[in-house]
Amino acid sequence: MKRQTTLISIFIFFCFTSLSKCERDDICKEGTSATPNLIIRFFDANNVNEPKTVPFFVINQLDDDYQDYIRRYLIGTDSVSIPLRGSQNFTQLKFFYNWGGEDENIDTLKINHDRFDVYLNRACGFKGQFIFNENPIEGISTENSWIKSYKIIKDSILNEDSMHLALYH
Amino acid sequence: MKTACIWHYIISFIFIANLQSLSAQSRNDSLVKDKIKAPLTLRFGIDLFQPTMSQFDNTFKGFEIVGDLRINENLYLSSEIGTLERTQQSELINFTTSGSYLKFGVDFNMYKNWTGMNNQVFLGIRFANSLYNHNINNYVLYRSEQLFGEDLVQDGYSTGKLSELNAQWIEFLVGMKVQVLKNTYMGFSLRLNRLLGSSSSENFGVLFIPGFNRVTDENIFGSSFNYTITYSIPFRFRKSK
Repeated sequence: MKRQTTLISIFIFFCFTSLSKCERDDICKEGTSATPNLIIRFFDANNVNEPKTVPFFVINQLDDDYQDYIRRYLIGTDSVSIPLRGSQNFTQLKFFYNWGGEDENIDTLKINHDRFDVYLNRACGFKGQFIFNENPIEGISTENSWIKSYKIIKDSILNEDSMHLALYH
Repeated sequence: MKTACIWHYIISFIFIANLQSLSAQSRNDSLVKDKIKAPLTLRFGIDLFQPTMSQFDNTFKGFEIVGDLRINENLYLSSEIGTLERTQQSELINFTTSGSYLKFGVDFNMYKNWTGMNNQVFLGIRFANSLYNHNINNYVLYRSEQLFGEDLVQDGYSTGKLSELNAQWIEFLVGMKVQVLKNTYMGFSLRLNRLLGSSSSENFGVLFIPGFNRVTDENIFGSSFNYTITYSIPFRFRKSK
């Protein structure tokens, strides 16, 4: 009799363990570090240590309409974070200086990067980490461009703790 | 000096008491010996669940051979050997696991049969080992925002084969076997698995092990089951009385 009771209790235990299909690790926890964005800050081209705001700053993609945007700052900003493409090893974006204004200026930046992927866990999968290529930024410091030069602060984009790229205008 | 004497008394008392209980046990044993010895019986068969699943689910291909040898009235040496190939989508990652496993252990029958019957309700334990490969088919990069749509990585980067992985675990099982035809048994078993050790590749976790099934990040337990049909061949080494 005692044997049977233990047997039955073990059996029930087995049933429950096999039924509990939804587990905690199916959900990616909020706050898990994801594929990092590129953090850019803008500085004065004449005084490289002085942050300088870009007025009515808009970023959109090459084939976007004029009104479309992925980032838009009505009152301007001196820092921005943008995602880098995972499907190709460059990211091309249009940077608008004073969008819609008289002195509107568009620079098309091409950011060249490589990527390697790091496994996180079952729920979150892989995150990407980027490294700047040898020729990291194209499409600036031409005659008409508003961005005069750049400086790589960190050549690998592993997290979003601080800026990776400084642009001077 | 006095305390030492007391200890000496206590220890020798326990020792003598033990001796007496030992001799009492051996007397009991001599009674058991008179029972009729059960014949050695070799039984082998296959798991029915995995081949059936393979027919209906094209992401699953599995086969398992089971066997046991009766060595005592209620004791069986048991083993399972299987191969498995399974493709699954785990959240953002699509991967294929292929490999084989070997489980070895004992079953202890708890069912009191009528004379001539050989049904079983058993508890068992297995030590298991699996050798397998993972192939990461594709995955979506984990991002906090999806501005350019999902980044589905289908080749390069972390996709590809991770080979020569292995895992060891211990299984506790409960099950039954019922004679359905002469010498033919059907049975099932439910298993609770506890992972003992596993090799994991540098840039991927242990998500699935053939024979063990799904591995969770949170703990080291898993579960599995099988549904078997087996055929038994009795043979005798000892002279029957």
